[in-house]
Amino acid sequence: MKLALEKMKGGCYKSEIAPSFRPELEVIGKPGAKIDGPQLVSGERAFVEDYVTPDTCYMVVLRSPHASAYINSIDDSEARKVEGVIEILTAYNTPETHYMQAGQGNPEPSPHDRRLFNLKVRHVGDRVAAVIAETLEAAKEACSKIKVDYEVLPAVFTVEEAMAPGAPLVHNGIVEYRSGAPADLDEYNKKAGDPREGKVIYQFPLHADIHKNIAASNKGEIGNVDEAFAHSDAVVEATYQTSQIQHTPLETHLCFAKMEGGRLTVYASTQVPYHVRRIVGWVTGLPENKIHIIKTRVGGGYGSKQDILIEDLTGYAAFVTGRPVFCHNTREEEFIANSTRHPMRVHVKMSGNKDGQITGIFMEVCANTGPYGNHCLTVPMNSCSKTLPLFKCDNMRYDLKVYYTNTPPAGAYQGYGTPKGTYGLMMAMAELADKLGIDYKDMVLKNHVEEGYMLEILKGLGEGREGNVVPVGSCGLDEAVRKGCDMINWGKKEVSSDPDWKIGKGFAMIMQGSGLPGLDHSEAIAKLETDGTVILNSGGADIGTGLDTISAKIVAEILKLPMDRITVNSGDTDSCAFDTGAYASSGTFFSGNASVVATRKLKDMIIKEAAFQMGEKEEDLDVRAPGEVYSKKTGKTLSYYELSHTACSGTGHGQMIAHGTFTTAASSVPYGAHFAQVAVNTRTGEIKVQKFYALQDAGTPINPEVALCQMYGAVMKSIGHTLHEDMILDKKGRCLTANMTDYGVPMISEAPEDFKAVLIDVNDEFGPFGAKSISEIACNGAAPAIGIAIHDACGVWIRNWPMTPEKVLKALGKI
Amino acid sequence: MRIDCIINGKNRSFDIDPTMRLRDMLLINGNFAVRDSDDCEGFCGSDTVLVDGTPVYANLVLAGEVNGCEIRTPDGLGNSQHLTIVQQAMIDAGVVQSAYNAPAAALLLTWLLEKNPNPSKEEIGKESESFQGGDQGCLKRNLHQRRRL
Repeated sequence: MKLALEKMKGGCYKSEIAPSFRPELEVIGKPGAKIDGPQLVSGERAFVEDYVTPDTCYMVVLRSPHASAYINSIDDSEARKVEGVIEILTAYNTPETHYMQAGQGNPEPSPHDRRLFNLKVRHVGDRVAAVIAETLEAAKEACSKIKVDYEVLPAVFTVEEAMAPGAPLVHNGIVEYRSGAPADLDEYNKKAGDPREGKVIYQFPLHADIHKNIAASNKGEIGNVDEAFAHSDAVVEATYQTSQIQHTPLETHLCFAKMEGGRLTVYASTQVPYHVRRIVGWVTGLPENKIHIIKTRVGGGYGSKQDILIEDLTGYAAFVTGRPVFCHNTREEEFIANSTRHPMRVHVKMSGNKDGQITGIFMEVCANTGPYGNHCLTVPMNSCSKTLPLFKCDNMRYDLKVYYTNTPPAGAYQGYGTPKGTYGLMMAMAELADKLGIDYKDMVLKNHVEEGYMLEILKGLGEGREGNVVPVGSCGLDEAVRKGCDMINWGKKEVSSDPDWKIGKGFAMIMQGSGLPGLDHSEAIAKLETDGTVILNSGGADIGTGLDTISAKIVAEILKLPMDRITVNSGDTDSCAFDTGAYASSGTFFSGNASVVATRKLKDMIIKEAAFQMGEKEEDLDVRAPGEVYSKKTGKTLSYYELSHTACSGTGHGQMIAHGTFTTAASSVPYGAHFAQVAVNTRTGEIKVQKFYALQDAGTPINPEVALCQMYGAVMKSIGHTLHEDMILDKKGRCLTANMTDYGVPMISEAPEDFKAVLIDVNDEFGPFGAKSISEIACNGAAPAIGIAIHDACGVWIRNWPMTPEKVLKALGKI
Repeated sequence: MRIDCIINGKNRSFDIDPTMRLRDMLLINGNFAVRDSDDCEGFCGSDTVLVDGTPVYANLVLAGEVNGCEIRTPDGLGNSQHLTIVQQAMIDAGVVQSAYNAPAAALLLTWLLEKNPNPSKEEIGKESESFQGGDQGCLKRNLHQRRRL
């Protein structure tokens, strides 16, 4: 509004939109128009629903009212009589192929533990049947006429219930391994229950035991933690609990699929087009050349669109009916049948000495993956692998177990386990500092890692394989902590004029990754068109974060071309090359680096062709704005237009097309520190976030204004998780808060009065033009920063999010 | 029932059930940027349109209610080749990200500036409470007292 008003009144902006970085570069590190901005803000066709054709059929899913039940029978005879019904899909007429819906690298570190439809429903909202009809109304009416006979079973909803002796088993079928099967597997499978349980198939061992509801587990240690605990000045031990929360993208999950010329085309709002193609291929039996995934613009992903939650069934429906099919989740379905953040119980034991040195850390993580194992190993592992490496500590141990339950499903969510691990570890460190009588800031500064520190802890924390032990690379952590402490006047006690309100301050160190070294993989194809413009086909998936703009800026920077002469086409599996997708904070680092590789190769081709056409030596040539080759020796120039036109003239060498692949073992870790000042009403328990300062080292912020907004958005989301959001289940597993009004996303009135995002300027060695990731890490700081500030304000530790007024009053002993 | 109205400056007539939601009528007219994020709950504001100069949730208005009215929809502002100052400012500020309801936000902010060319920060905040900004997460309306237990 401020910018618009300035332009209306004075014809130009007077305010600085965002800081600039890297003065030696033209467009990278400078605020600039996001290339998909005009399309999006003006309401042009952009999202999946905008491409649905008038002849499209609608699909509605009948969902289970029970948290756990066998299906005895399904009678769809009346439903099929409804006019306009095309097909009804159930477990009885769909493939028995077992797969999973997590969009992860193949082979996945998640068990294949479901079919399109199962004969055992495992949560309220689980798929029972799907009706494809010519109208939405007919599909809904037919759904209401399907008769299902259930054999209702006892259910478990918490990790405590799931781990109890004799607990009902969420999965009790045959277990198979694609590799690494244990020697006693045949004996193990003798305990399998009803055939309707289906199978659980591991791609490799996840240290699971479905007979104890354990979906995955892992543990590891460096040094000797018990020894450290025994010989330290103080030890603290506490358990931190997090609730089940949902991503609430404004665009609920949706998919449009149709058969054309014997191929299946799927319009998908997805973070992982190539994983969608693979999994749709698995359920339909189609090879990848017969499937075309078109990623549209994505109206909010946050990890929920890393999973193939709707494309599998919609793609299959279009395949078997031959009709165009559209499916669009209701908001309620988003909550009960989609994916959520894994609820976790993080138990931390930490020891330290009077000089502030942390001597030992033990993290025990119990996570609830719900009825299916999407990301069941990797999310909880991230709660350790993206937190413990913040500490220079020689003795660290982690032990994590992930349990199946009958809650709504869990999956990937921005931050990917790290917000919960950070909450536990930072709170425990503050509790330890408090016990030792040491300033928390001093303890942080004494114990945080710095560039070059060798991260031995990572050895056991690979994603299903041995992790890379690497030294800390570029690191703005110390600067973020010190600068934030200055901004918030750390150590200065603020006092409210109202005696009921107590004010406190807190902060948390944070880190994440920039993709998964050794696992992630990105490709790009750069084409010089015949008029000297460039089309870059990027396998990356821009989900609103500005990845396409990053790729365009990379081309502009390397080829010295104006931005309006560059088009980025991304996430289309026919025209682009393979990319694992936008998750694990990989977009900028992996897909951006693939764009760098492809564009540098194209530049080399341009120079080589220009040398031929100009009769010059390659070493005498370079490129310059506005898109031409010039000779440093003779001063001659050749525009890209002339160059490409000649190359494609019928007698030339042909179009210049470069293909870039990026994989790496290098790790570029973003760091930061988030600060909060809160006011707590000790009479009512109300909590107000007065100030929030998010300081992050993102390497070179390629789109600084977009990066800052990513930070603001993620902080608001995590303030919501910290203070308000909660999927409350009743005793039968039904979600009581499955709508926007009851659920509790934060309101504008709850935004911090003083809210700042600050980019710490660090140039990374491995990132594209020095860039690291920006968004996921920004979800990690709010809970511990606010929790520590609440303690500073009124002396109580709230070890359970959301931190509600009721919990504050209970902790204060007032109710 | 015949509904006569003006949509983005053009006369339009519909022969439809007057109990149809206004959003559904606008979708028939091709105004697909009037979206639904909340099952017609009136929470997110993705379905915001202006009826006779007043912002409403199009999912909570019946088609019969707009007979004889003037309606403005998000796609009635500038197009991608000719953006308005508000639309361009939103892009320049970095707030157009996943942008599912960015067009509706542009419409609301445009309306606010037309109504009050010099709004205070508080006035902007108050008026934008009818919105949920997906990426910024800070534009949401508190329609009901929320459960906080």
